[in-house]
Amino acid sequence: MDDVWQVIFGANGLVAASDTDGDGASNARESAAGTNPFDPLSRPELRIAPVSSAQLQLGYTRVAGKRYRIDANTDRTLATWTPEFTEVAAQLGAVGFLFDAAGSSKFWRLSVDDVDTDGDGLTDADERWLGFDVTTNRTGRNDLTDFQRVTAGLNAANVVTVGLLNGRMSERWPSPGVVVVRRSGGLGPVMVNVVFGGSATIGADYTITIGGNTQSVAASNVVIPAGVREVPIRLNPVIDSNDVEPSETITLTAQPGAGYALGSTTSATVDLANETASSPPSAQAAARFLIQAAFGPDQDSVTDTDDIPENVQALMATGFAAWIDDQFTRPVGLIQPWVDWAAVNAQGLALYGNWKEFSWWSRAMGAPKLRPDDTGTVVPDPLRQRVAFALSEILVVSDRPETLAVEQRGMANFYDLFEQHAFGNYRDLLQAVARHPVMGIYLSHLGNQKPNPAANVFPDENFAREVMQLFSIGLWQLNPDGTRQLDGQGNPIPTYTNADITELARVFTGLSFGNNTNFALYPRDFTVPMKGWDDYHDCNAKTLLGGLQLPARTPSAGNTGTATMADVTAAVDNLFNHQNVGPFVALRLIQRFITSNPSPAYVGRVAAEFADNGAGVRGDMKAVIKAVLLDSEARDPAMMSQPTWGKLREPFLRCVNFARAFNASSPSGYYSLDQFAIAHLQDPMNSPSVFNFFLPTHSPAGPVTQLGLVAPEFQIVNASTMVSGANYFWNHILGDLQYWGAGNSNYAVKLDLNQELAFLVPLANINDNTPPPSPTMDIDALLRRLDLALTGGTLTPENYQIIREAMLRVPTSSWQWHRARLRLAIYLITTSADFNVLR
Amino acid sequence: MTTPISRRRFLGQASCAAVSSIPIVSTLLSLRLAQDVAAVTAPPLGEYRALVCLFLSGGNDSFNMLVPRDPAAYATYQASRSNLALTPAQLIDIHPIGLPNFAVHGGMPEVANLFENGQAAFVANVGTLIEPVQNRQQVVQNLKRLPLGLYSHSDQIEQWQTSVPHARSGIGWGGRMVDLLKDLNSNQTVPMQISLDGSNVWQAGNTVSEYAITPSGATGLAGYNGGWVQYQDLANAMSSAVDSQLAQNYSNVLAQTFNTKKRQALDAYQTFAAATAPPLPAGITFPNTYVGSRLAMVARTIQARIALGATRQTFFVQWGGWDHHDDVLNNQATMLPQISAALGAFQNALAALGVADKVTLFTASDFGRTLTSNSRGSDHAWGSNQLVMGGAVNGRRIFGQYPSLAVNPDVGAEVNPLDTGRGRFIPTTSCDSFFAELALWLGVSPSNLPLVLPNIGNFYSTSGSAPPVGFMA
Repeated sequence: MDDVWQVIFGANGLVAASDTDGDGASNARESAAGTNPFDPLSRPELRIAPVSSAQLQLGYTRVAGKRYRIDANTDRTLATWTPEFTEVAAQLGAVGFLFDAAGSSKFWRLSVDDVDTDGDGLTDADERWLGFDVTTNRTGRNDLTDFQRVTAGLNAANVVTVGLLNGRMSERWPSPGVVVVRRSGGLGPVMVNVVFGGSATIGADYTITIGGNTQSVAASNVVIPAGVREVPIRLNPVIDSNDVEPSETITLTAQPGAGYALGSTTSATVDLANETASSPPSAQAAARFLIQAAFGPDQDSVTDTDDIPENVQALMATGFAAWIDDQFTRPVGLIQPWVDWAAVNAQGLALYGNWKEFSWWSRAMGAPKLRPDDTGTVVPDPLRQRVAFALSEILVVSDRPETLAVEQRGMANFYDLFEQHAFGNYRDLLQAVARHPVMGIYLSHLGNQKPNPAANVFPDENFAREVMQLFSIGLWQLNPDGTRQLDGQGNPIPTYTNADITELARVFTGLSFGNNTNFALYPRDFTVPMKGWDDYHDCNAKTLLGGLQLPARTPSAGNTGTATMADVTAAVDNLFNHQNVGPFVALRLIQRFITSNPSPAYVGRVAAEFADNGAGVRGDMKAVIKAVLLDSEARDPAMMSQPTWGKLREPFLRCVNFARAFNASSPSGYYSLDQFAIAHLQDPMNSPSVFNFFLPTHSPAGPVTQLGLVAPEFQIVNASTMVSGANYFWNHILGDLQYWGAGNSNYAVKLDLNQELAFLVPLANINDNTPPPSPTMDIDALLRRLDLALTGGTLTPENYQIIREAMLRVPTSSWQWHRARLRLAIYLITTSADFNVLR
Repeated sequence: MTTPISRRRFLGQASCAAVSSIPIVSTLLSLRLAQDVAAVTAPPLGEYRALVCLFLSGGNDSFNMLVPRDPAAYATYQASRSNLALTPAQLIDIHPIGLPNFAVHGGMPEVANLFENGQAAFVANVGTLIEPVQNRQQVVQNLKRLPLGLYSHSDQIEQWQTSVPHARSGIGWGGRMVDLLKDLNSNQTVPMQISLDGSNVWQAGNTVSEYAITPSGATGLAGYNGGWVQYQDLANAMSSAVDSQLAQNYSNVLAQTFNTKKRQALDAYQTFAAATAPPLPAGITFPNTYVGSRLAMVARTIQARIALGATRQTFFVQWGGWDHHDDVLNNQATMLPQISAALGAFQNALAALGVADKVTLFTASDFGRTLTSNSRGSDHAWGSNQLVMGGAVNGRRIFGQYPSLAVNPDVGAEVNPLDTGRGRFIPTTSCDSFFAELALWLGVSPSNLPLVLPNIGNFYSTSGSAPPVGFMA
């Protein structure tokens, strides 16, 4: 009889010719059919049953991997049967088909046998029982063939251990504590006796989920099925009304039992923190918030004993609102000072590249000085930096046009508008953007002149169009919750006509470089706001959006540009006060920080703050940012399990998260990092057009589209960048973060991985090429640390197992095995769906 | 009752358990698709057709790409374009069949040559329309339904790719075409649609999307082995773990989409990289430019068509930077020669591969640009001129109606009913007709055209025998 079948059903010692369960099928026949020799209802049989007066159903029960054939005959005494149907079953389960009852008599018979698709000596049924791949003789690219593994492991002794995947539970945080029961050695099913202990009470304080079943009473054993190496046990917190109880523990301990021996670690303890509705955030909640609102958790300091990063701890101590308030008080982390320094010094230091992006990174990483030769230091302002980046994806300029590519100081000066106004007022930002010479070049209203109809020359409409479509009101009239208003026929209503654009284009005439003494385009200084020259401005009366009448203006004497600026200011005010701006900005900011598909109510709440911050002020960015980040929808942990919740992390920002999680730095202190668009199609200030890297409405084909949802970031995650993005992590975890290499070791930005490596080998041996394993080598502890820092503790137990087992496959005798194992862990997390989709 | 059990019936009943949790919003369409796909017959061995979309994003000023040379028309051109008008010395004359002389931009000698040799044609004043619009009164007085977001980049780029100007949609007409045709390819691992410029609306279908490659081909996952390799513990461990991660199912649709897209990318790479490894035949060269390097990779992919199991393919190439509000003359003088040289090289390569008449390339762009100047450049407009190229094209012709280039004065009598102002021309040929011609050539049946181009019935009778425009032989 089949060896695997015997192990699966515990049928060792049964006599082949006997019929143990008395169902008419001998044990030998049950083995051939893969059915249960102890269950009289499980046997090879072809069933026939009437389903109506006109139809009968013929059917059998499949065992995955077995081959079934149905033959038919009109006379059962004849020797010649005609095959009517053959299949190799892909899964377990009953099947059947209908046929008409009318007509002459007919006979059918069922045959069951085996196939070995990959020819490795194991039948498909054997492989499927054990969870092997039927299409390869080396499941999981194992060094041993499947046949060798079965030969060695089928009846081998099991050694059982207990591991801890997530030891941190909080009463009001839904992600479960996870302990895992593992076995090594054998392949057959094994039942492990366990005891639940600790100070927490099952049912009242937590429930248990094993294999999809949730229960409120302690389990006395955990079954590890055939071929399975570990079973996670999820411990789900229960919210109670006792807000003064102490924090508690849950301990799972494996007990001796039949068919296995216990290994070295036989218990794991999870801490269950008491949490009230007003408690400060848990470590996971704080880490998640930092990924949403800033650049994610930092690397945990080496000087304390816990594994929680300091910026996470700081947030846990203050709570979200106070953290935001503190960020509002931090000095503005401008990026131009570093570029100004570089413009003078970088050539001499052979520090080439995109200085404004070097400076961007310096601020994102929280470098202590705005420029290297500053005498004082500044505190980091991560929230402002993230808001500025988000705004730079709404009010877009790009350095792709050649004129701007070489204008690093001007581009930095433009970007600093976002830094300066991030916590200011959207109206001031809109006006500053409209007057900035970088925008003037990018959308070509710099040097734009009043019309000359006789020569068929008219004002440039570029900026006039985009300031409405992309920077303020959008194409369609919106309700306060961001949904589109509809006309009587159910059609969306445009916000403006082409006539509105041509009128607004007349406003943006007569603007040129503010440093200059006349309207000419040289000399030019891109860090001075544009100035008006009324001689070139269309001073005639204008009718703007919504019927706003601008009077004819008198050109100023002495080129002070008062007429031009009066028109510009009135036009910006007119746009800013349009009812669309609030919901328009709200949706875009929510998409950058929290979720691609917010509810209309969420958009409406943020838009309401935009309309009035509570003190009668419209456009207050502090109120808007708080509304985005503190909204009940953003903070409710239950949203994390909604199938449509969350967003794809921006491909570039995941590189920043990665760099901060491992405290990336260079000996020089500079962050000479750029060229991320090569692998990720994204770099600050480098979008392909004014439409940003991705549209707010982009929807990838498949379920997202079918559900009527959007997922903007998927626009730049395609078959090519899905791979090049992953390759970036693979190629740079152990090396320089610079795409082409740093050129100079003093500038090489590298991750600091010593703390992580010390989980695998003794600290003293980190730089050995083949160090001895640490006596306490604890992969679980390392993975828990990586999980918190990179995903906010959302790695699934299944993903955790995949990563852990991959690490263990690198032999400790191989060259730099500890680095290879850590690289695998970081790579497999940063390229997984758990990391890439922020929930 | 002696009928053998058919496999189809059996599977049909067995699959009842596999009901998706995702509601199918377009069940009706899916059913129609299923029936139509079933009706497509397998093409004869060796048959092949491919469509290449060259999208010039930003809005190419195409009234300086194709210029009338009839003296009166040229004088009107000069008057309307003022400082943007090209001089005769900046043009290359061409001699379309049945029309007075025209000229192409002087930087496009290869295109002029292809045109004169009958391998290229133009479609004049083509643009997005829901229904025919005859004159500007109908626009001004809202007498006709007009495309949403006229003159806006994002909307018009989208509508040129969806051909659904009455609604916003992320599904393209190329994707809908391939929804119908995809079963014609014997190997589905590498999608029928290849993009050299990433995700795009044109190739997004209800059931299909693009396969994105780079000018150097498909990108492989570093450190990944397709199968077990001896002595490669790290790569074996990593590769197996990646496979296991991608086999995980997520209830979150974004996470599931991420996994699905990555799995498809890895699978397609294995097939694609092997098939496209051979270089192009000796002597075939392409200019080392943005478009040149992409069309070279398109040619290499076409060369691999048999290994890829492809009898139909579409290719998407997009080159941005055509939004010339500023400095339009200098910019076009730099950019159009790159297009021309790349197209010349591409047609040569196709001839060398023996598929000159099996591949058709067409240009598209957001919109035409205002005929009048903003002193340095031109602004967003509507109708535009587009190029079609290939051995199957009715070459040396200009299709559609090239409009009068007279511009209506701000004040005074109307001189050109097609000008909605500043030389923004109402299209005289719809995008639907333009695309229908291409879709029919690729193999969409006339009765299926409305599935691909929902508004085609407003412009073309699918039951008639005349072609929609006539540029495909």
